[in-house]
Order: sequence, then structure tokens, then C-alpha cells
Amino acid sequence: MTMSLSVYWNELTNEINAGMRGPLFPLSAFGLALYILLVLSNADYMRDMGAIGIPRNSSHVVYLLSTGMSLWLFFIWAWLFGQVTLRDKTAALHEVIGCAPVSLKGLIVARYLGACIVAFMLGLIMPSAMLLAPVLGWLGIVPEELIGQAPFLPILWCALVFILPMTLGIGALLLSTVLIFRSVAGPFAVAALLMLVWMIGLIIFKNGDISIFAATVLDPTGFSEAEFQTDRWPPARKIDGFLELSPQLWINRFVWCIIPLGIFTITLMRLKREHLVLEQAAKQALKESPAKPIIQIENALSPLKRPIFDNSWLRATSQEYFWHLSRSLNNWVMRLSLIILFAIGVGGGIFNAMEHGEGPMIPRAEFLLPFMSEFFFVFLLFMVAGFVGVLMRRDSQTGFDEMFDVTPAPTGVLVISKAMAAFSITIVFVLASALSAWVVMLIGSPSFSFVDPVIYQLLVVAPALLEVAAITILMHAVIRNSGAAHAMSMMFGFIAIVNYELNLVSFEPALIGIPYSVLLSSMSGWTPWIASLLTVDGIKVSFSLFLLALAWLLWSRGTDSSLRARFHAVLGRFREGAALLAAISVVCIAVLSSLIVDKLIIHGQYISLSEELKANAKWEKTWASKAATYEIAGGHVSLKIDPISRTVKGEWSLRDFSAANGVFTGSLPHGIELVNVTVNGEYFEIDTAYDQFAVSVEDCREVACDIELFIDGKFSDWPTLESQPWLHHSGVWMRARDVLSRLGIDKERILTAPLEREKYVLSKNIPDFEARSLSTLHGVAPAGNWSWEIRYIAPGNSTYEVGRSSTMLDFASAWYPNEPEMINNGDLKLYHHASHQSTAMIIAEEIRELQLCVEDVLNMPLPTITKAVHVPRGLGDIRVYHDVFWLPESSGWDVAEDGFGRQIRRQEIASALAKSTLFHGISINQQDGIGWYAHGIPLWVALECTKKSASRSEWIALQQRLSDIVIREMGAVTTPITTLAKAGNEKWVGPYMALTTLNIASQIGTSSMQKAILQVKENLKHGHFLIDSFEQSFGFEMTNALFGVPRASDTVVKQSNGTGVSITSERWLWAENEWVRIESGIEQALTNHEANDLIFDSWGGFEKTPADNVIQPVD
Amino acid sequence: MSQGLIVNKLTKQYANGVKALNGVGLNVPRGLYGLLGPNGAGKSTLMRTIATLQMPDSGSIELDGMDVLNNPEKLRKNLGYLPQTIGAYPGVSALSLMSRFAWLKGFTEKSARDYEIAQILERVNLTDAANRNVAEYSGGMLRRFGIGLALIGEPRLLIVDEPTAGLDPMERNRFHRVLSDVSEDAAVLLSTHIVEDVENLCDDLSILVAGQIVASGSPKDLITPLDGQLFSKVFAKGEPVPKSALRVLANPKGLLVIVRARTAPNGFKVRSASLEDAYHVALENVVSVDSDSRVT
Repeated sequence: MTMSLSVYWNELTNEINAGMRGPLFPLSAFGLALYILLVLSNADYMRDMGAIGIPRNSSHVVYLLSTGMSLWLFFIWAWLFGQVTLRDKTAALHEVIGCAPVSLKGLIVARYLGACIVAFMLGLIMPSAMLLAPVLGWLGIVPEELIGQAPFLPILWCALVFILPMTLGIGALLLSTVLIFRSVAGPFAVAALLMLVWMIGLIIFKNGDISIFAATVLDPTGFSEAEFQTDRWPPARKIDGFLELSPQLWINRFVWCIIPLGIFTITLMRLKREHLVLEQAAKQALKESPAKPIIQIENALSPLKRPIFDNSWLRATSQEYFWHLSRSLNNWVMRLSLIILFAIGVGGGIFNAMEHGEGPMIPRAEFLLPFMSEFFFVFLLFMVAGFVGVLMRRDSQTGFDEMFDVTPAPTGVLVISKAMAAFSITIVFVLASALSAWVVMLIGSPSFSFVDPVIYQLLVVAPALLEVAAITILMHAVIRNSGAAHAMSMMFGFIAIVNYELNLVSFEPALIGIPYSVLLSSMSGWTPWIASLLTVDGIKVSFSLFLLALAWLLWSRGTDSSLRARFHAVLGRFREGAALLAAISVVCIAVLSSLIVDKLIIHGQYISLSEELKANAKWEKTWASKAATYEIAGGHVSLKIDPISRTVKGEWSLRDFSAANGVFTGSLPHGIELVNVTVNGEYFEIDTAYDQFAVSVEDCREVACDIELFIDGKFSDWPTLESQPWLHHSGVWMRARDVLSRLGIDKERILTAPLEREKYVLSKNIPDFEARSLSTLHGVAPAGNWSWEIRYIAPGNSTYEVGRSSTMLDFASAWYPNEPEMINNGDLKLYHHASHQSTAMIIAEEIRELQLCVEDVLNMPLPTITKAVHVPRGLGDIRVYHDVFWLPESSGWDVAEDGFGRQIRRQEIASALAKSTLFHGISINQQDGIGWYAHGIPLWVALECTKKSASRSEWIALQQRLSDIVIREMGAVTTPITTLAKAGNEKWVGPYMALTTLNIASQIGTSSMQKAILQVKENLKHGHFLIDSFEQSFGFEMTNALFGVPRASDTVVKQSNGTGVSITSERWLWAENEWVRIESGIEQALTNHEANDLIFDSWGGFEKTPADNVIQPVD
Repeated sequence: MSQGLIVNKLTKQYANGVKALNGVGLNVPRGLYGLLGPNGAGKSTLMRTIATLQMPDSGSIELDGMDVLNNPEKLRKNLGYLPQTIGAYPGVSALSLMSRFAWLKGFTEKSARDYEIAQILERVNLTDAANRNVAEYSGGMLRRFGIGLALIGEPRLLIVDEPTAGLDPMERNRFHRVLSDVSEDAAVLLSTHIVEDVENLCDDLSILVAGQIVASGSPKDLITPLDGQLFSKVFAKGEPVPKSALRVLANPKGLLVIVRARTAPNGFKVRSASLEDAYHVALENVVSVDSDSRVT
């Protein structure tokens, strides 16, 4: 007994030693530790956290990184657990071991435990690397105040909740497949399947807002749950919070730990010795040999006694390429992967469209293709790394590897042929997704595009994956140990994903292994993107070729791995052409990169976060002191726009301008130059810096002047991430702010985070500006008598538009190279793309219907809207610009006829209509509390309209969505939150204010709210401040509740047959970056109530979970 | 210009300090040349070094007057190499794999390639099994397939490292015939520790021990000096064996002990020397020299 125990103990320790031996562990540990330090020092995400004092080694980062790395771990573990039995086979000892007088099951369990210990330690590398964070502080790379206490407890928690169960469960699953299939292909297939399941959970269920529960349960890594919980944590909790063991997390751990252990137990029970000893039956074993010789000698023409060495290596390369390609494709694992890829693509595409939380969606190409790219990318990335790795190691068979190495074929033949085959299988994978997209479109979209999926996959997705393939080729060329080479390839894939997720590299063309973003639109098509896309593709392909050249130079040929031998080999391959390929690649990268820099940075809008912060700090130092109140009576804008040459010329005359400090200032939009300024007919000198201009107009202090601005714009840039060019020969979608300077000071450019202010040597006190010195919240100039004329000059398609308004100067205009489709709905003309006919008809009807509703809720007349335009993605939100309804492609155009998505679109339309009504005829500057008027009331109006037209459940679902946005966005703030008055236009302010207004309105009644809003608008019109106006109408308590420190409440309505309705509430106040519970279990009395009433806490604040505030009808 | 393979003062020391080759010199003319040596003698290192798979620390290698170390690619055009073991290349037919080796050896013209492959398949008697998966081949078929791959392009130098280990007598015989055929046009360097193979096949041989050539010549050259110096006697089981025994072989009656002496020891009979005896004498010389040097 003692002897057997010692045998198993030895097996366990041997397994640990075997796993730890070799370069896998040290390489992983070193690589990941280095990478973590890089992430902690550079990622924009970390900088954002730092802005509000969250240390970079905080607990939520531990959770996210530890679970996020699991995909990489699965592939490493596949190799690790594969060795448990395959190591014996490789050493031809499997028969010896198989007949040893010990329990086979005990042997396997001992080795499994040994492998688990190694796997667990590999899993611990990432969280443990967080302990190195102080090094960054000591080196001065990160301010020491941003390095928190060592997160021992979160690491321990992470190890217990995630890494340990995952090691035991996934390890058991991987080992079970090794025992069943007796090949390392089994565990790798399991790793791939796990990734697929993870993707379905994360991309479809979580990102599609379908079911967080399903996403968590399906996710073997636990990342979805970690992200879901930490996203909702307020900043202070992110520092040292513990993940809750939610019910779904318990189920998840059961599914991915206990069930796999059960499978492993069953597999072990059925395992017999001969199963591991016997050779696996060859698929073709029974194939009869042909009776006749395969090659007919008499048919062989021109038999040559000697081979031809000159000028034939090109042909040998192509023969090798086709041989490798055919071996890779003619393989059941590959075929199965492609079939799964296709099937999951079709299933996932349809499911995502049908069940999208903000849908259902119509899977048109522009919606479907980015989804497919995101959905498949991680899977494709690891598949490419895996299959290319297999291809690269195909010849690593005992003896054959040496025989290949001594063939006279130059190394280039061996390398290039394999690389071409690797690139080809990458393309095959990429095109499988296009095939899925076709099928999804055929099934679910009114319009089908054959070309778009192919172009998208080939030009957007494929080049990034070619980089992954090239990295894999290089790793296998350089690293002799196949396990380590494989691990390194997977690690680079993982790093590529994390780089993208954490914005470690924020300049998108420089991201390796990540597709370039394009905003595909049916209105503008591929035209705006094709130049930048081809250039970025050129860089990616050149980079891939550069890596290929490196692989060629460093290719391991022969058995000598000494530096001297490698150096000799490198010299020889220089002559072969590797150096030439490297040189050409580098030249291409340099030329194309300089083009990208010119188009995106010098002439384009790209700016890194740190550059932007620096520029804003300098802007504040230069311009903050020059802010002064100004007044203006109106004026006229005249624009000439040439879409073909992408040029603009304009004159903007301003009447009766006066400024308290004698300075006329404003900010310039991208690409627009202020050529001349005349004041009362005389030319004046212009001072320009950091996109702000100023003209000294001393004469306009006391007496108003007439000013004329001459502007000039020539656009030769390419669109950057998440933006679309407004001026292009494929169409013009222009708003006033695209072409005219915004007068006054833009308060949004002020740095508010104390650490940032300190870093850029700004005073601790944030400058306080007089409201009327600031830019207007919307448009480019305060309310006045404005008129404009716009001429589009294009061969055969010149048009002319005029307009006039008496509100803030904010117009929009569109020009199309070809006349778009148009729908007439009463006085409204809606211009749209032909493929969106049915959606356009519904939207036109919704606008008309919601105009009536908004008018009714606000009890104010709506400004006239004559035109609605279908606008490409990336050109802002749904808005009304004077008489033009601006409808950018987004969820608004993607949602289907019925469902929750349509309610969201209606909410956006109603909100836009309400805004235009609230802003009509007045000037609104960036003043304290403006978020309520500018965002909160419009959203509240939209909720009221939903209440009138939709079901109660849809109305509550919209509230819940807003509540979720508040919780999530307050958790991600980059500026310390003090009061609502000072919160500006942060993303959470609008939803917060809407929900709070809903609460207040439920207390005072909708008509009282209408009167109060009308009163506030009147006061604003006469130059009063918003908060003062509000207090006049609502009193101090209500004002404090709305504009003071953020408040939250959670009221729960419970009904029972015996005791009737009981209501309890909890209340929180925001303090020190987190919600602090101030009261709980407050019981509230309810006097009169009706079924379906929604109960709010009269304390104010926003309701966290409106769904449980409803009084249900009693049967 | 000298013909055949000439290896001169080749040395190779591994990173772990093991000196695998220590001034090895060989002169391999056309025909079969045997390289004998015990396990760990450096045979495989020497084979790999000649086959350009690794670089020596010093020394030179010439093939037909051509400097191999500075022109490895030129040697590869004239080289056939069969390593000690070849595994089963999975999922590929012999024909497919042979075609691949053929174009990597320069047969990129299909007709020439087909002709070459057909000839070689006939030669190694695998024509009927050409379409079978290599992974399904028996050990003997795999070795024949390996030599077939090595023979593509009619190499002027064929290096075979322990080619008949584990083969049954029939397969071994078949393999020997192939080698014998090839040696008519090329220099064949046969590395093995099966002395009988060398004795049967090779005109010349060298014995490599601890990275050094300790004996060279024809089998006869190595055997003749031992005439009249070898004696044998069968010892019963349990009977003490003299410490000076050259070889101790298992025998149905006990142990057959062979000793080297000027006169017959008591009870010993004179024995006619074989190459195997010569091989053991060479090994014994190295061991005694080593012991002597340690003593001094």
C-alpha cells in the first residue's frame, strides 16, 4: 500500500516536473509579467481610472485580467494535459507503463493532479504579476499614488473562485478527450469548442443584451460575470471590491467544474489498459493497395536521370504550397471547424438579430458584418494560430524532419511554401464567415449583398489574421520546442485581443492582429473607407511579410541550435532573398505608415488621449483668461461646397457683436481655416492656437460691431475610428458645427480630474466661466436672426438651399451624388437609401405620431420639420437641426418593425423632438444644471410618450435600461462626481435626470411639471440661470434633490393576499466615488393605489430597479 | 581532384561539455564504407555533421574535392541521408511524400519526377504499396521507404545511420541488397553497431570510439593481425570468468569466453578471428589506454 502511494506520489511530482521543465513556464511567466506591466503603465483604460484616483492594481483589474486570459490558458492547458498520456507514447514507453503493476486509474489521477498543479500555477501568473505594479512606481513610470496596496486578497479570491475550479474542471475535460482520442487533437478541439461557447455567451447573449444569466452560465472563463459585476461597481468599490458569488456564478462553476469532473470520472471508469496501448486504427487501413503501379513509367515523358536545380525552385515552392494547402484542407478537423464556423455563424447571426436586447434587428450588411467580425474574431484568431501551428509542425516527424532539412531545396522554398499555405487557410477561414453572412442575409434581411461580406472579410478581417498567421509562423520558426512555440503564438493572440480591449495601443492602424474599424453604411458605401482600408491592409500585409522574412532568416534547419550555426544560416539566407523581402517590407511599412500618419494625424482628426489632454491643458492656459460675455443679434452664412474636390468656402457675417473684454473668440472645426476677419469692414489680425481663434476687437466693447468671417476648408483626410467624413464625393451630410466656428469658450475642454490638472501644471481650482461667455450647448452661435444659403457645386448636380431661423444657429444639409429615395408623409419629406424603404416608411410615421405626443406632453408648439434625412453611421445622434430631422444609421435604422428596439428608437425620436422644442427660440449655454434641461427633460418626455403608446412592461423596460446606463456609466466616470449641478453633460446625467424627473412628476403631476418647464424656458429666454429658475418653480428641497449630490433608491412593492401591499425602500447617496447606503428597510405607507401603478420613493433620486415597483393587478 | 568523401580532423563539442568528435578523419571512396562504434561513440554526430545538419567546431569535409562546410547546399544536391529512426508520417501516402521529396530535390518536372519515383519504388519493392498511408507501413517497409527517399536524385554520397536495427532477417537482407546496388555508383557511409552488417557489405571501415577513430581499414586488415592471438573456452554456469576476457558470450552450456593472448591459456582453444573480435580488440585498446592515462 505504501509502495503504491509512493508510486502515485512520484507520478504526481514527475508530472509537475515535466510540466515545469522546458521553456513553456518561464517564457509564459516572463512574457505575461512584462505584458501586465505594460498594460498597467500604458492602457488608456488605466489612465481613465487614474483620473479619479483608482489605483492601477485595483481588484477589478485583477478579476478582469485573470478571467480574460483564460482563453489563452485553455490552449496551453490542452497541450499540458495532452502530455499526461502522450508523453509516454512519444518516448515509446506507453507499453512499459501500461503493464506496470499499479492501478491505471490511480496513475492517471495522480498525473491529472500533477498537471492541475502546473495548470493552476500558469493560471496564477497573470493575477500574481499584478504584485509587480510597485516596480512601475519605483521606476517613475506611473505616479506612486496610483499604485495601491498589493491586491493579495483579490488574487486569492480570484484563485479560489476562478482559477482553481477552472483548472480542475477544464483540465478534467481536456484529459478526458486525450484518453478518448489518444491524440492532442482532442484537447485542442475541446479548447476551440470552449472558446466558441464563450463567444456565444459573451458576444450574443451579453453584448446583444439578450441574457446576462445565460452569458454567465455559458462562459467557462467567468469573464462575463466578472465584467458584469465590476462594470456596475462604483469607482471606490473597484479598488478593493470582492466579486459576489451570485447564483449564476455558482451555476457556472457547477457547469464548468463539477460536470467535467463527472465526465472525467466516467471516462476513467471505462478506461482499459489496451485502450492506451493499442495504436489508433488508421482511417485508411483497410484501403486496398492498387494492383498496378501508381506511376506508369512508360507514360513518363522525357525521363531525366538527374534533377534540374536551376530555375526550378519557384516551381518547387508552388508544388510545396499546394501540397501543404491540400493536406491542411483535406483534413477532418479542418472540415469540421469550417462547418462549425459556418453553422455557428448562421445560427449566431440569426439569433443575435432576432433576440438582440435592443432589437430585434434587421441583418443588413452594415449591421451584420461588424457583428460577424466581432463574433468570430477571437475564434478565428485562435483557430488561425492553431492550424498554422499544426501546418508549421507537420514535418516534425522523427527522422523526416532531418531528411527534409538535408534536401537541396533552399530554405526559402520551405518557408515561403508553408507561409503561403498558412495565409491561404487563413483566407479560407475568413471566407467561411462571409458564407454565413450570405445565408443570414438571405433569411432575415430585405436586402441582400453578395459583395459586401466578401469585401468586408477580405479587406477588413483577413489582413489582421494574416498578421496572426505570420506571428505564428515566426514563433514556430524560431522556437524549437513545439509546446513553447505554440504557447507563444497563443499568447501573442491573447495580447492582441487585450491590446484592443484595453486600448493599450490607441492608434488603430498600429494595432497588430486586430481588424481596422470601418463604419459601413448603405448611404455612403465603401467609398470613404477604401483608401484608408487599402493602406492599412498594405501595412498589415507588409508587416506579415516582414515577419515572414524574419522567419526565413531565423528558420531552424538542422539539429544545431548554437548561435554560431544560426548566424551562419542567417548569412546564407540573406543571399537567398530573405533580406530583400525584409527590406521591401520595411520600405512598404514606412511609406504606407507615413501616408497613414499624414491622412489620419496631420490632416485627420486622430489624436491620442495623452496628446488631447496635453492640448486641452495648453488650451486652458492660453484661452481661459480670455473668456468674456458676448452678445450677438444674428447674421448670415453663405457657403460654397464642392463635394468632388472636398472643399468649402464660406462667409459668415455677424451683426451687432459685442464682447465685454473686447475679444472675439471661437473654436474652429476640424479642417476649417479662418482666412480673414473684418470688423466693420476692416481686416483684423487673427490669433489661432489649439483650435481656438481670437480677434482683438476693442471697439466692440461698448458699441456693437459687424464682423465678417471668411472661411476656407480643404479636406484631404481619411476618417478615423468611429467617425465618417461629412464631406465626400459619395455624399455630404453637413451640420453647422462641421463648417462654422463655435463662438465663445468650450467648457468641455477643461480638465476636471485633480490628478490630470496636477500633471499638466494647471491650477487646482477649475476656472469658473460666466455662462454667456461659453459656447452654446447646441449649434454654433446664440439665438438671433440667422439666415443661410448653401451652394453645392458638382458637375451636373449643383444644388442650392436657403434657411432662416430665430433660435441658436444650428442647421443641417445634405447633398447626394444620385437622388435618393424619398417618402412624403404630410409635410415631411424623408430621404433614404433604397434598401431601407420599409424602415423609412415606419420612421416617417413615427416622427409624425411622436410630434403630436411631444407637443402634448410639453404643452408647447413644436418647430416645423420639413425634411428628414437618412445619414451614414458615425455622424452623430438622432437630432433635429432647425427644420431637418437628422437620422443617422444606428440602432434606429437597424431595428425591426416590432419589439423593444423600436421602443428605443421611438424614445430617441421623441427625445430629439423634445430637445428641438425646448431649445427653440432661446440660447442655452453650458451652465450649471443644464443636463436636466438639455437631456433629462427630453428623455422624460420620451418616457411619457412611451407610457401613452406602448405597453406597461415596455415602459418599465425603458426605465430599467436608463437605470442600467446610470449605474454602468457612474462606475466608469473619469471625472469625480460632486453634484448634479456640476456634472455637465456626462453620459449618466441624462438618464439620471429623466428617471428623477419621472419621480418628481409622479409626485407633482404631469401638468405641474409642464408648467414648471415652461416657466424655466421663459426664464432662460430672459437670461436667468437654470437652477435659479428651477428653484423658483419647485422650491429649495426639490432643487437640492435634483441638482445636489446624486441619490438612488430601490423601492420594492410586495403583495400578499392577507396583508395587502407593503412597500420598503433603500436609499443611497453618492460620496467619495461610491454609493453609500444611508437608510434601508424604510417602510412606506400607501394610501390610494391602483393596479399597475408604479411606486417611487418620495425622497427623490433615481430608482434602481423599476420592475419591482409595480402594483400587480389582483385576480 | 580527390574522389569520394574526405573528413579531416573533425571536432565537435556540445554545449553541455560532451566532446562528441575529437579529430575524426575518414577517407570514404566509392562503395560501401562501414562506421562501427558503440552507443554514444559519436557516430550519429558524425553522420549529422557530414549531412550538414550541424556544424563542426573545427576540421574539414570534402566531397569529390568540394568544401562541404562552406557549400552545404552543394553537398545537399548530391546527398542521400537516412537517419537512425524515421517515424510514421501521419495521414500521407508514400507516393505523395515521395513526390514531395522529389521536388525538394529538384525534380520539379512532373514527367522526370514520375519516372524517378517509379524507378525507386521498384528498386525498394514498394510499388504496390505506394498508395498506402506511410503510417501503416511495417518497420521494414518504413526503412525501405526511407532509403527510397534518400535515393531520389542518384546521390553521390549516401549516409545511412543504423539502417537495419529492428528488421527481420528477410527485410535486412533486402535492405543490404539495395545498399549494395547503390554503392556501385556512390560512396555509401553505413553507420552501425551491427558488426556483421559491415563484415558482409563493406570493403572498408572505421571504428569510432569516444569521438575518435581507433581503427580503419578493410575487414581483413583488421582481422589478420589477430590471427593466432584469440582463444576461447566454454565456462560452466557459476564458474569464475577470467578478468582478462575480451568477450564473454552466452552459450547453451554456460559462457563462451574469448581471450587475447600470445599463447593459449590453460583449457582454451585457438579461435579464428572475426571482425567482431577485431572491433572488441579496438574497444579494449581504447579502454586500456584510458585506464593507463588515468593511472599516470
